[in-house]
Amino acid sequence: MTTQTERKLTTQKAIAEAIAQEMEEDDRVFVMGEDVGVYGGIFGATEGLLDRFGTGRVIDTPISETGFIGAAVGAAINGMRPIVELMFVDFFGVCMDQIYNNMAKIHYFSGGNVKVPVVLTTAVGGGYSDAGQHSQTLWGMFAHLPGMKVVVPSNPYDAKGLMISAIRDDNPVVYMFHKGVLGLGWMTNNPRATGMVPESAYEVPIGQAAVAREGTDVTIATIGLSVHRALDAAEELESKGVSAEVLDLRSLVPLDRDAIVESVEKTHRLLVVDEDYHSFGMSGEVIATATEGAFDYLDAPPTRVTTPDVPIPYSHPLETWALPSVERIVEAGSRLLVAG
Amino acid sequence: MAIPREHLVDMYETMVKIRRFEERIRELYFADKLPAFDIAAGLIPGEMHLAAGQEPVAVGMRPHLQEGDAITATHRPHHLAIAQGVDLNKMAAEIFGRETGLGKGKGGHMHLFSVEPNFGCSGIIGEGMPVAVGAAMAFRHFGKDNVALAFFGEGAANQGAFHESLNLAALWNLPVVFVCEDNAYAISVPKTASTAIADNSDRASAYGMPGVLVATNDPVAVYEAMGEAIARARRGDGPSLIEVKTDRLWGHFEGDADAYRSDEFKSEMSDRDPLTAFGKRLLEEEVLNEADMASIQDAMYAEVEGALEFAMTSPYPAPEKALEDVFAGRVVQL
Amino acid sequence: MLVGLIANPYSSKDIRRLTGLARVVDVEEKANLVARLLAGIRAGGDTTVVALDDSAGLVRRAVDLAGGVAPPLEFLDLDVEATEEDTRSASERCSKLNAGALVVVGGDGTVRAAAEGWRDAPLVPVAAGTNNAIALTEEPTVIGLAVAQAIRTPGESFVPTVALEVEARHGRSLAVIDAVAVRDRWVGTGAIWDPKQLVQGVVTSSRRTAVGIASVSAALGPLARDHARHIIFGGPRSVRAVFGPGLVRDVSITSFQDIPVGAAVKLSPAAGLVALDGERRVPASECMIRVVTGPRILDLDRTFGTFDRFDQISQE
Repeated sequence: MTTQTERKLTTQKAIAEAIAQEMEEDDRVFVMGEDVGVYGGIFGATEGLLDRFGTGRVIDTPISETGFIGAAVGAAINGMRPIVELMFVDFFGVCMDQIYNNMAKIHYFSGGNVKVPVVLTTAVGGGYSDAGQHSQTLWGMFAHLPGMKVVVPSNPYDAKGLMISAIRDDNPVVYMFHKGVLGLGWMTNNPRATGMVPESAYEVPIGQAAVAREGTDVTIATIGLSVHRALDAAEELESKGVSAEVLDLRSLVPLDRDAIVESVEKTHRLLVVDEDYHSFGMSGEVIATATEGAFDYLDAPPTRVTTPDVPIPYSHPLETWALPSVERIVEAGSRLLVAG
Repeated sequence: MAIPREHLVDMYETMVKIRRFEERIRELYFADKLPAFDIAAGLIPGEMHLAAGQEPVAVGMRPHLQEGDAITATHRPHHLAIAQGVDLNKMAAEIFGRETGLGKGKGGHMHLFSVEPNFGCSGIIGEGMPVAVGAAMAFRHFGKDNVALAFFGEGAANQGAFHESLNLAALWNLPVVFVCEDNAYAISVPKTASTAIADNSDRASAYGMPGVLVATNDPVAVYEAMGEAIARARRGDGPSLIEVKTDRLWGHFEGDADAYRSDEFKSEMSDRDPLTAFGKRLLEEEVLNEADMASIQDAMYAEVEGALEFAMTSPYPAPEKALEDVFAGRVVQL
Repeated sequence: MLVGLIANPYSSKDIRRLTGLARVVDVEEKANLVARLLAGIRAGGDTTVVALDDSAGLVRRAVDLAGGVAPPLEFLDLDVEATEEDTRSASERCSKLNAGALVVVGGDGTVRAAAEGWRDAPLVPVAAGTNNAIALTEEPTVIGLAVAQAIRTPGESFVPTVALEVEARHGRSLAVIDAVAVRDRWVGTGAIWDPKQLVQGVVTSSRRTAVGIASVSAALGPLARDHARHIIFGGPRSVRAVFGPGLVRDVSITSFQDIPVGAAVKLSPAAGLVALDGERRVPASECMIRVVTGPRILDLDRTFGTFDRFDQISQE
């Protein structure tokens, strides 16, 4: 094992570093999107890139998502490796055709002859009162549609590694970064948004979950900012004598179903925390996976802490109540230990 | 502009080939769907959109193309694919859903993709236009003098993607030629009922590029306009929009009763069939004689028949292959 | 009093947008132009307009735009084909209706088709084309006012011009500015942008401010009234001409000769097509070009010379 130099970085800086390193290595990689250049990305994902690589490779686009995401598809087909940013995942509505019908299907339609190595980055998540059209996560929907990988890093180390993997992947990868895990100075302080990150480039495999915290009594399977909430909840549960295992899924497509099953076989209890809408999404998929693969191991029905099927409300008490919180996770976890 | 004889002949041959291909596909499409039309039945299941009458747009571009030039097309793609030189055998096999097809049977007639030549098409209106913009970006990045051509219908010019794509291409001065095939009808809706202005070529100046109207469905007229537009893009002078008034001789899709177009309209269209008209002119100008025409017909018909034969004798893909090729390097689990 | 109106939605959109710097005059722009014309016509006195109901609805749009300042306007009862034939038929109809003036909005080609339908029409060509060799380029409102006046003083307002009768295999056509044999044998997009294509031809205008073949002729010197100029192209001499918008070209000339009304020129059969008023059109072999009297064109100075002040024209 080689010694790597590591230093503390926020998730945001880790993402920007990953992109910069890959752009340095591979001239075909370029970045495109609204405010990705001069501004460095609204959430800092492309900070510093314009100064380093110039306007030829870091392109500020007009507000034309269909146009520039489709252009990313065309550029990828023709030998480039675009990183294109959809500023907020909530904006997918204006351009979804290019994403799920075009980008995601061309490889299949062409029998594998045409590759579309696009990384579609997008900011997801709420908790800071940006209201119903700027706070969603929507990974359930993207994961539901065939043809695109979906990754959601929760920490700086994974953020860099998954970005590098995404860029090197010949498939379309939807890279969803939760605003709450970025460690932005203008957001509520989050100690878990900073961590040790190696200086050199490295890959975190797409499709592989990680056990963020080992435990024996209950598996808390989750993704994104909810990993932080789950870790906080696990500490509280520990003080109540409950040993919770936090499984950071990291990818939704491919979903590491083996990891889910393995963890449930160990703990016999499953709690899924999903910031996306409750119904017809990630939480249901994880529970189905556990039920299909580890039915006999379950000592209690799986349960979930999600955002209810409502537009995310604006007012702080409403929003805080609606989104998964440490309290709700602790409460659900405790109940799970009593049930069954 | 003087047009070389070999271009005239090549355009004519290609028109003959395209028309024959569309006619034969039409015959085979219907052959086994009866007695009551069942869209899912037969050798060619699903929808079918044929381009008889629109040949001039495709062949007029053909002599100006260079290896590597990208074409993005629509749900009515055959004439463009044939003109660009997409492998006819593999194209036919794809339409017949065989494993030897361009997409191993996974795409079908509206989703034909070829790497060489660089061709793609889509069943979603306007979807190919941004892709052409992206292809042009790649050409510029790699220092190639290739051009991307985006084909679409007059109906698509009202879709947001059209407006976004033209703006982007002009803003970034990209080598794209946008070609509007105006056949006057978007399925059943005539242009007069869909578009607030008279001609889509008028829209070009709103996006900062020149727009040209080719008012006749004539391969030489298209040849001239495409020649200028493609040369302009290739030398780095940016995008342009060409609108061609063309004729969709048959219905929107095969099986379309086409009752929304009057008999008079259809008979006028038939009277000006571009294949007949061009053939007649070539005879008048003594570019070809009757014997030449007969031998061209024989050759093109044989090529088409060969491709259909290849398609019909190719095997279907094994059913579980449906799980392959979603991702490069990974098979989806059931 | 009756004024005919033909507006061509298709002028100014052809390939010369790419081969030179020709601008697009889109239908909206033309509708606005016609609306201003109508405003001028109405203000000039009691006049009814009969118009071609063009396939793009251009005139209808103009009437909408003009609103309350449009004069009474009726559409000609004609089958519209969206081809040049519309212009020709409409012009012929206006002749039968004895229109006091025929306003034609378009380029040289539009004027040509109108003249074919009505040979000695009292023509008011309003520029909306690529090369506007004969058309008026002044503010349409002013032209409209002049039209209203001119129909009341036709003898003083319209000046005769020279035109060309072109007879070939196809039959007979009229050209208003020029008939030139070109090497190309294919009509294609019609337009000409390469002087090297020119073989020989006849042109009726030497206006210094014109564009196209008339500009070539202007470089050779003034042209006498009732005369046209027969030019043989190619050869060692060349003159500089404005061949098209944005296109200043050196055009090779062998010789030229001025010929009067009544004279005819037979073109050598070696050439491909004869272009009429800038558009490739008829086969060149055995082509005879005869200089004839053409339409009468509105002369603004002479028209405005017939009154001192604008308010005099609404006397009626």
